[in-house]
Amino acid sequence: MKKIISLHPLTKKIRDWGVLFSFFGVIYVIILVKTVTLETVRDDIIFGLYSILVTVYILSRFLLSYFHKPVPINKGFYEPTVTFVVPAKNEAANIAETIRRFSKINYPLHKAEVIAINDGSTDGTLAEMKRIQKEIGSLIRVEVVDWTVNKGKREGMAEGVKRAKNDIVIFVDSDSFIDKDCVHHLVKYFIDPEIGAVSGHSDVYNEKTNLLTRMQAVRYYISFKIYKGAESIFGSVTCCPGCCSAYRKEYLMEFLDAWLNQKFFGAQCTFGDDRSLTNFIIRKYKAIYSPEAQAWTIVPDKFGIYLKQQQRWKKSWIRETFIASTFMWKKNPIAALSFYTYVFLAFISPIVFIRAMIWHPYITHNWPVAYLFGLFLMLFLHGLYYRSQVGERPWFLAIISFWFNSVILMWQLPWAFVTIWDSRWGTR
Amino acid sequence: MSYIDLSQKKVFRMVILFIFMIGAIFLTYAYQGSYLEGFSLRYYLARGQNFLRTGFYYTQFAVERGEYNLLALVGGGSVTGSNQGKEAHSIPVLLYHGVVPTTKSAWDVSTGQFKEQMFALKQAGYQTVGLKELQEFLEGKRKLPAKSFVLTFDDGRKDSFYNTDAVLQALNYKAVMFVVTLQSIGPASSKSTYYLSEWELERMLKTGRWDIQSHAKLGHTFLPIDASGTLGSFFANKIWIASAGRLETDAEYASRVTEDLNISKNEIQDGLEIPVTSFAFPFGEFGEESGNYLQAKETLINLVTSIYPLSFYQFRTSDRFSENYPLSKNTASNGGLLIKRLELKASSTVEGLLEELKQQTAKSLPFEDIFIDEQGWFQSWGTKERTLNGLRLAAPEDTTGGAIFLDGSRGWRNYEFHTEINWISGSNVYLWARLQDDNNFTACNFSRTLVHIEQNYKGQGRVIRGTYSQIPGSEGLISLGIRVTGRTVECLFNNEVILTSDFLEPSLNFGGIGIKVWSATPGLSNVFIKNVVVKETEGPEEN
Repeated sequence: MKKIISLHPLTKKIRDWGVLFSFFGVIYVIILVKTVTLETVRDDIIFGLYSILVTVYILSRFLLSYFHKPVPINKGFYEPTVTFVVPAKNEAANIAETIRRFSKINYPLHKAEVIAINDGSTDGTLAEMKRIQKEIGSLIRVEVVDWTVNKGKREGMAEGVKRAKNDIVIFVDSDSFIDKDCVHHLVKYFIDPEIGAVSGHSDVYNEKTNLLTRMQAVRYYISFKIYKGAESIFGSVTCCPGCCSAYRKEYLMEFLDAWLNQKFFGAQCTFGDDRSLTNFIIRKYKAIYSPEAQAWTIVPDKFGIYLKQQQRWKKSWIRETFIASTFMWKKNPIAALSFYTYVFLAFISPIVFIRAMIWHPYITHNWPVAYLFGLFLMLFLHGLYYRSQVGERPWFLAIISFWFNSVILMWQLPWAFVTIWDSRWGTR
Repeated sequence: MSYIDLSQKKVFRMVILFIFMIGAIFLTYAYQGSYLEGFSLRYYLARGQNFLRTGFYYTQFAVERGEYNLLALVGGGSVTGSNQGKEAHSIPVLLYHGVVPTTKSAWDVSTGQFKEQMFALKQAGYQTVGLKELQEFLEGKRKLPAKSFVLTFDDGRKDSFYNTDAVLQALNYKAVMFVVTLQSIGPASSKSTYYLSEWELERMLKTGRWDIQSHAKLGHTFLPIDASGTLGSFFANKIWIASAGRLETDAEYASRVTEDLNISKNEIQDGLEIPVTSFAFPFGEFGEESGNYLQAKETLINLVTSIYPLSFYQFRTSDRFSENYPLSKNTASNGGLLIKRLELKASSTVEGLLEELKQQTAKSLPFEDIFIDEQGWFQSWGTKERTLNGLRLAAPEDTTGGAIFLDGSRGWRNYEFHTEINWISGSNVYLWARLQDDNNFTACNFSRTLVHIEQNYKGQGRVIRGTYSQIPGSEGLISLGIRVTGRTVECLFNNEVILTSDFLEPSLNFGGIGIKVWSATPGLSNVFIKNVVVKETEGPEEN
């Protein structure tokens, strides 16, 4: 462990204020720049509009997430029964630890059970499941389902739901770990009958492995805190991720079969199960994000695997966004507007990028300083936010990470769009 | 149940923050003029870029200069050009159109070329002067150091500002931008990605390096000039009025042209609040070449000079002298200050530019040429061919003669001009003196039988005096000469005066030299010129 250099409390305070001041300073500069360049929008309606929209969208995320409402936990008063569902394939290394953590939660264990599904693993996953079942069986009920043939994650999740005896189903990925208090913070929302799903807050477990995982850590943190936080205030979180999310079993049963047999343009949907499930929920109910429900997940530390994962996510994003766009307009106007704005921005950003970085410099013989400066300011803003929330951490990575996302991963969307019919990458 | 936390504390904080933010932005935006000299992000970004480039250019310049000085120290003798103590007798004006990273048009130069040319000029001791200095110099009210020049750009293109300003800043140079007000003045100007906008012009003025002048408003275009739709330039032609099926009348032409000259001037004056003194003819056309209106040149020049003290066009070799001389030496021509410019193109090289400037600059007396180096002899007719020990001037098969004149000699006053020639064939050899332009000069016209003193004043040629000639028809070197002193012209043969007149037109009191050969039979004229010597003579005092 690195030695922590302790700062004088006052120095620390001044620093923190400095970060906060810089954060608002950057917002000030961004708005000022937009105000000044407002008149140029006339020259170029589409791209001018893009520029304004992207600014309003991003700044509004910060604003909306600020109004996220903290909900108190009801220890001893509202404690519904919960079932952890862990589908796993070839996860011998982590599965035992994942399940062990369920026995250490701050929640009445007699109100909890674990359903572990071995989805045709070829390594020691089943043995590990059996071992941990024996180890903690006296504390918490553990049910092991063994499939010798791989059926896919979606089948596994559905099997878990069907077997669950309890009110709330909590999906936890086999490579994710939950915090002691996570369950309380997840279930506290279900007291409201409108709530169908709650997303926990996942951070990156293997953050320190390399630059790639560090970057993902920053990205995870911000996309949960800010982007899910902003969606959450209207109860329309569009994705309660598989790494740690809770669903009301009663509501799940309504469309479990429909979800299981989901087809998109005739093809069986085999990935993006979590986003798809959330989509079914928010048609009728609300989905919320609980920032206090802490979990950790292991992220890819190899670039190739990471890219494949991102590509899979992008594909499911396109599919589910397409579906969600058929009903999102019925939701809260701000939520709906945000949703459609984001869709528009995501698709137009590669075009804007080409225009700003290649076409415009070619025509005017000027460097794309303005575009790069704008991009940098936005990324800087995210970096400062990260720094202000988590303290002394390599926050500058946030900038690189989001830069990376804007410039490299941006191209995945059009690519995913083109290859959406190809489901080969869908297998995990 | 709602999941928005609209507690007083949070709402209050955001409202305060919002008010503060809006207030700050409003203040920054509203009072932009008072502390930032106008706020425009694009401008400051360009400035930042320029600042870095200036630093880069300046370092390069300093290194290059140091290198040259070191070379000079080792080699003994100064490499760096100097204009110390010398006075300019003529001023060159350079013209650029676009300056772009890579040239696609023959009218553009590359940023590299531009930089190289400017650095070379600086290295050679050249310094820019502004239009005010130029005007005062041409009016004879101001002296300027030798190697002064004016740098101009036509069309008001963005590239020719953004790609040059850093160089100018590094070298401490000034420049003039001639803008088309249709594109660059007014609110619509902010739309163009090609032409400079009004606010960019304002920023240019604030640098102190740039002057903005007129390049017409609607006039930078070609319009139909006959029934078949042939296109001709706005200023040099009468426009075809299709609805009436006729050309413009003289009055219509004058009013159309005057309006555009006035509007473009007023738009710059009102928009940028600067005095406008200069006009650059679009395409450099001022009616000197035949269009559909024979009086175009005369009419246009009169109109322009009534509105603009200075007007600019592109030099052509038919103009004889490349540079611009003070007005007292300019009177015989057109009355206004019609200024010639040397146009730089994609094909221009640094060496070419320096050589050209060297050749065309005002020469001082005594002058001697044995034709080893090119000193600026322009051939205006026939063929000119430099050989090992002289210059051959001849008429090609289909022409009757040949002529050359010496650039940079226009400012000379009292002098004698001798040349040793081998008169191989052809009937007449003319020695020109006091040559101001095609229409104003004097000459000794030598033939085997007769010698004439001729003068050409405002285009009217006449023989002032004549005599019989003693010039032998044999081959071999002979010496011819002409001496001009005040109003006296003398013709010399083998250094002896053979003809004199004291009645030269008083306005022809200065001008340069030239040589012409002629024969009624095409292809016959052929003279070998061995040398030229020009010496100053004692003339009457002038005021």
